[in-house]
Amino acid sequence: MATQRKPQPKDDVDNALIDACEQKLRASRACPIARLTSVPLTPRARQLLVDALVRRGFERAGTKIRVSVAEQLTPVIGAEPLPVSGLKRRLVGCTDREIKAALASGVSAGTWSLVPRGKLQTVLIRSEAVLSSADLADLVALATELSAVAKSIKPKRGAPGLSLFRPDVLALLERRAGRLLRPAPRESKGEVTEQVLEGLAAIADPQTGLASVPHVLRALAEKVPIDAARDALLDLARAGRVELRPESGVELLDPELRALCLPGPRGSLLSYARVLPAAEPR
Amino acid sequence: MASPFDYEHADPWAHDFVDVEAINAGVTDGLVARIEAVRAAAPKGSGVLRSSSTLILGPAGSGKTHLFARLRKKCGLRAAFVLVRPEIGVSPTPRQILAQVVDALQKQVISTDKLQIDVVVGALLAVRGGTSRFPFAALDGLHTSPEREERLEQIQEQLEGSYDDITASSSYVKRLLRLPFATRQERQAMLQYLSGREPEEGQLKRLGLTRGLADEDIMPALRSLSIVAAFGAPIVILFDQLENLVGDDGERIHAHARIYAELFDPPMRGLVLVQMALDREWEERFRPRLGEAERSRLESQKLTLALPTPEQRDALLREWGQRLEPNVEGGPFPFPFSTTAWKDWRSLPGVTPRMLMIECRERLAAGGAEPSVSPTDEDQDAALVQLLELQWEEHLSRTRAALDEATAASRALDEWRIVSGVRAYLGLCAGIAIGAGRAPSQFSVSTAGRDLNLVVLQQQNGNSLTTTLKRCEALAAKQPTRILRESRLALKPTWTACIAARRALLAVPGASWVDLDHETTTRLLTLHDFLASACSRDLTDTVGRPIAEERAAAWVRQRMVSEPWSGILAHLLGGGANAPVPAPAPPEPEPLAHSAPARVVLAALRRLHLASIDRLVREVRTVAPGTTQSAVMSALAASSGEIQWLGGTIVCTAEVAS
Repeated sequence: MATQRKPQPKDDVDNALIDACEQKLRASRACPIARLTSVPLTPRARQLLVDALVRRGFERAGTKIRVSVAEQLTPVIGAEPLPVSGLKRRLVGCTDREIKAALASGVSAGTWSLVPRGKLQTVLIRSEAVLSSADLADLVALATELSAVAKSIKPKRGAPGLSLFRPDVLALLERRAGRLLRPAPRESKGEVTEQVLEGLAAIADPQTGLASVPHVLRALAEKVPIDAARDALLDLARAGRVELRPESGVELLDPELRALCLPGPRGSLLSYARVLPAAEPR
Repeated sequence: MASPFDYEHADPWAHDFVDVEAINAGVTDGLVARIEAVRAAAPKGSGVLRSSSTLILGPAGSGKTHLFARLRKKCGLRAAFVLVRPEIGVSPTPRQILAQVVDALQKQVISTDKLQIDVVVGALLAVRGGTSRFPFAALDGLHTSPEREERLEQIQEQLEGSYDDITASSSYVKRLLRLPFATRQERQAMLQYLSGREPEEGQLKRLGLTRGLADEDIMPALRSLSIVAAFGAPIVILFDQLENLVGDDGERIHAHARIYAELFDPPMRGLVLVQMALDREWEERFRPRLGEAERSRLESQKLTLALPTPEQRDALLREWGQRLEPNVEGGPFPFPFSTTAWKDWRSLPGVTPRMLMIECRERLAAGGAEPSVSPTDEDQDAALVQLLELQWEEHLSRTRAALDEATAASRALDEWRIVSGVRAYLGLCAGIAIGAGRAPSQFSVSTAGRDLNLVVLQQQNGNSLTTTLKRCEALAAKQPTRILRESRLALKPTWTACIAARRALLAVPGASWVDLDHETTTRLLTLHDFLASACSRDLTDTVGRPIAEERAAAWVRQRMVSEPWSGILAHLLGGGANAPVPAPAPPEPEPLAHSAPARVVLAALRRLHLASIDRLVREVRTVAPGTTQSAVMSALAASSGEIQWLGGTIVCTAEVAS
């Protein structure tokens, strides 16, 4: 009786095999490397296959290979807040720590926002529904000022009770929360872009063309919502019309200005912008 | 093995490095044009030749130091480059600038084994000979020519005809023009003189001089040097790490501005001045301190370094990829990025070349995959400490190499280097207030209600040292004074006047002497350089972000608590660390106080086989710094059976003699 021979392991990989594995991975989102192919592979061929898949954007995690954590998170996170604790069961082949790191990276890149709601920490796509860092700074300043006000009217033993002058309180609320309560009407993207370019040109150093991002955003705050202006700056930078530059002396920036800077690569802050020659407003 | 991604801090004097010329090509071309303008203006005389000034701003890691290396590569023999990094806590002086210029001119021209200072002279000779392209041929032609002296004198006369400044320092120019033709010892003596440092008595004798350059000779010397260079290889001075000048009172910023103005304004001519600074530091801490007149000079032309465009990032990644070691299992472009990851990174806003390099390094370590997940805060702290340790070690080994080189050449360190090291160290100690001194080599310290003068004396010329010791005696009569000097620079037994002056100084109550040993000096200088790097954001954390100056200083403070740092404060200030009291006067320098054991001397002699006493002393000092000549003589006398004298000054081992 003829014995069934084990098939010889393959020592190379071709595009067809890589395509098939990619299709399989896209469907399952994660798979042990040893089970990627039905035909056995030599260690060399297996390594070549993994390298090719990594180059196509997949991630190797120990003995498994998977769709990257960030890519798996993208369709899951939407415009509504989603508890972070529930993310793991929606993803395949990812640990809590990896999810946390991917979230941190998405948040610093400005894609997502982490928002505490009660005892839960939630995540959602960054939009107007989420307070900007400038609004947050205003809110924190309001809380501090309100606490100081509360302290000033605290009744003292033997002294008559104190109250506040209504216009003072309204002025305080207007100053710190006015923008929060009445966001400026959304302008078209094109208009915002033009206004940002004009804002940059207005305060740029005439010799170097450098303009401080926080100062531009502040100057435009009356006309353009800060988030819209930040988005416009990022879009302009991606389109190669504006150069955003990382901050070198973070400790020299005061915290309110720091909060207005844009998040940059590798944890940096983008604090200077320069209109590149072809993009100057006509 | 190092990968191309391991060089996140450019070496300004590198001969071989990755360079994508398209990045900041405009800035490079602008500077090259300024060099060419100087070359073209030099023959037209003092009415046309001027210095130029450019300020270059950029964030950390944008390629400021790299620009220096690139300019060297691009200009080759057509310019001579000087990199000046201001010292922390020490105001720059013209003498310091002259010394740094002449030191830098002794560096090699890129891709050759020739020194910049020879190119400067050779280029002038070539231009005057009718061709500007072959400076070394001009030097070679004159080297063997019997008419050399005549020709050099003729050139000097021609220069004097066009430029009055050459006449004002004709002695300086005479020696500068003869430097390429000098013997080794003559050359050493000439360089000591040309750099504005005090030559030893023997060197003065060799040069036919009675003294080195006085303070009033320094600026004319710099002017002559720049004019001589302007004809063929103009001097480009790049001031880097200007952040080191920032202090509480802005005094050092003004001192820099004053010197810069002197280098820029006529009668100084022919220098290409470039300042490089971090954009925020310049705008927030530097510019507001400057007056209008200073700004008009320092910001005469302001340029920014651009970040790489997506196409330039492609080119950088390809260039780095070609330099990967053959044993690194890489992949096709865009390795170590995946195609999708590179799509993001090539257009990501705010990416500096340094950031891109660090990202590549991490991806290479992860085998081309996404770098591992972010570590926890505790892990990051531990990694940061490890990284600081690593960067400290790098600084330490650089300082050691520089000190070893100085020891081997029997050359004293510059006083300002030691002053800045000691000031950087004392600045980190609690309860110590540091004040200015009357001279660059001295400063005052107040601690626990006591005031103290610290004076660094590094002179290698006995007469000059004697004069300074007498001044110190007058100073010590008014306030307690401690003299700091490298221990290897022992007073020679023949310096009788100097020894007497030292004895008289130490007899004054409150005067004391501190020998700085090799290890302490190394640590103090490393500390200064480390803090200077932190100041200019050149220390980077685990993700490549600049480490804040305060964080680096805090780490150093922690280190200073433990051995071998703990004894340095008491050593420098005397008595208890916080209550400096004048230390008892040390004993007179006995010739045998630093007695090297006979076996060290014999071992050195066996290595050399046969040597003059001077050579043997130098060899022994590489092993036992501070050994005096008489100590070596005593050791030889004690080993008379194992050595053989050949005349009065040459000695060899008995085996060689037999």
